[in-house]
Amino acid sequence: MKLLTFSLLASVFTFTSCVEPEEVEVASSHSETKTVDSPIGQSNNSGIGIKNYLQLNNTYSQMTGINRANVAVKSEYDKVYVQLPSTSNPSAVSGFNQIATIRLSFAYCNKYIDDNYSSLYRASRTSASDQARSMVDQFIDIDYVNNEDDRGFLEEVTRIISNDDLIVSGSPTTETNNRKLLKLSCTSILSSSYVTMI
Amino acid sequence: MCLEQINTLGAFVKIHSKKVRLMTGIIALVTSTAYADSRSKARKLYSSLTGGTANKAKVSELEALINQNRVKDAAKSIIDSNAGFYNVTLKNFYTPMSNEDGTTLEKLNDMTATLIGVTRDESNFFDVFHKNILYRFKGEFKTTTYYLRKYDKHVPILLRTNNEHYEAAENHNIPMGDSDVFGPTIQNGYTTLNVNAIAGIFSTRGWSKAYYEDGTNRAAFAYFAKNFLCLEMEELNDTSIADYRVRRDVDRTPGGDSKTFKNSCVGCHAGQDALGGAFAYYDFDQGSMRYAEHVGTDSPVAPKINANNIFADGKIVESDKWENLWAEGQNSYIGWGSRKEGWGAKDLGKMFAETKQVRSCLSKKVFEHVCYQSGNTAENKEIIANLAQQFDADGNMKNLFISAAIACLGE
Repeated sequence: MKLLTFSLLASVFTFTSCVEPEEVEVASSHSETKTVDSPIGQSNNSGIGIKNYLQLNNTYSQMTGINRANVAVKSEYDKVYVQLPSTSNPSAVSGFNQIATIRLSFAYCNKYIDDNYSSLYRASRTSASDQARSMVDQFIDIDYVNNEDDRGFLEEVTRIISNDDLIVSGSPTTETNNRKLLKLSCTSILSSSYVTMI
Repeated sequence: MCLEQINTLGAFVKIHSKKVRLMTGIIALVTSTAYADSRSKARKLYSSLTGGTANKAKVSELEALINQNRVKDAAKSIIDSNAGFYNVTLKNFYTPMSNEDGTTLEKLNDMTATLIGVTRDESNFFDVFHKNILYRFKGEFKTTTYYLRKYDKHVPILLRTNNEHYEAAENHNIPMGDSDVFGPTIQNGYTTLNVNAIAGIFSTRGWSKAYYEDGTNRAAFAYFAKNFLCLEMEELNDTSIADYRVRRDVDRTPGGDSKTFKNSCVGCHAGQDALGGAFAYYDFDQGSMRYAEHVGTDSPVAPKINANNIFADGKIVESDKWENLWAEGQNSYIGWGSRKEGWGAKDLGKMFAETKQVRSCLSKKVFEHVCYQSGNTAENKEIIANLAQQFDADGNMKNLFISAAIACLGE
């Protein structure tokens, strides 16, 4: 758990220090144009949007079945919600938004895996690829049979659960390690563009 | 380089950063994809109405309805599932209307809750501008709270002096689609003790705090125009209108030049001050709305309205009479309601309720809110015109959302 916490905090630091000044300006100038009453900016005619803070929080709650008012989740949400996207305009998204999204999704995934591990994901009953498919299907609707991008995404989730990137030391199939890897794979799904975009 | 640093932090962050980098490409991919098949339509319909993401099982369920040409049933099932239409999509839609910054970050209040409730119950939406209606959370009375047994939560009782009732309900995530715990009432006692003050959303605490607290209540009309007519004051500027309603706090020689007033200032103030007379009795002080009862005066007019005397021969407001001087001239295209004059916000609200531009404005806003497309393209303008026509006929905001969500599927 310490490793996970370190990775997340370190990523927050790294992303924060890496944000290009221009991106901050974009967010600033957007608010000055007073177009926030519309969920999209004047130039957006794409038919897509980025979920704002309320939509993200509700989406994660719906997906995981964890109430938005859950103490642990609410505590994390209260810390990061001002850094989550406040508009659905894709051009206004910044690194701050993405890191806040990861933090919130991890809060939900942490609780979700702890609550559902025994019933849905116990390692002794399923392989990494089974666990990945089960989790992906639980959260989103992608066509990993016929669509190459979707298949690639499923493979990446499977690799996290298989510990291909040596995220944890030791066997990935021990319950402790499997839980950690499932929490990370869950986080990667919830903070992916499959979920954060509309 | 940033990405090199990220790559040292472990596979999780590395993988996630790859996803972030892929986002632009995925955006391009999605943009070029028409919602051709029913499964894609099911996904889009769900996300449009709830702001959420449907999983495989949900998409399959919706796809089956769409394949039976029951798209509207699919939309209704999404709304009725309480997956986010009321607490997220509508909250996001109405909240910017309840504050001058136009932000979605504000808490739920009596104004936004009422707009959500009227939408849920499919009441005539245009009534919100004048009728005695308010939505609140209901539960067992417990001295200082209502106990919502179904959700095992307490919310403070509704008071005129604060917003705690709505904030607590929002914090507890009480679903506003549940009529057992969220329903209509009347404003008497909850927003004001003076029945003459009641005028739909214009007499809610949320509206009052946003638009009556500071300044001289001109914001009330300016933000009505912005939010319900989709017009900034500059777009209403008509310098041909007589200036006899322009108040005395408006400088007739700004910068020492009377031409500035004649060529610019009067264009907005002539019409705005004439309509804004309707709000002359309102103020927001010490946490609650005040109406026709102000400290240090016997006049029903809020003291702030006439306090600033820059041009002594300007209009002194002595009543809440309003006139629509924009009913003629360049702003007549707005299709204002039939009344040209009246008394107070309730009368004005009735006129607004008949105004054609309210239909087209809200239709455009709803379309953009659920479709994530500009309403300004030729094709979308035609769609919005059809939506406005339907909205004019039924006054049903929920139908408007459903129709807009279906329209952006290409149906």
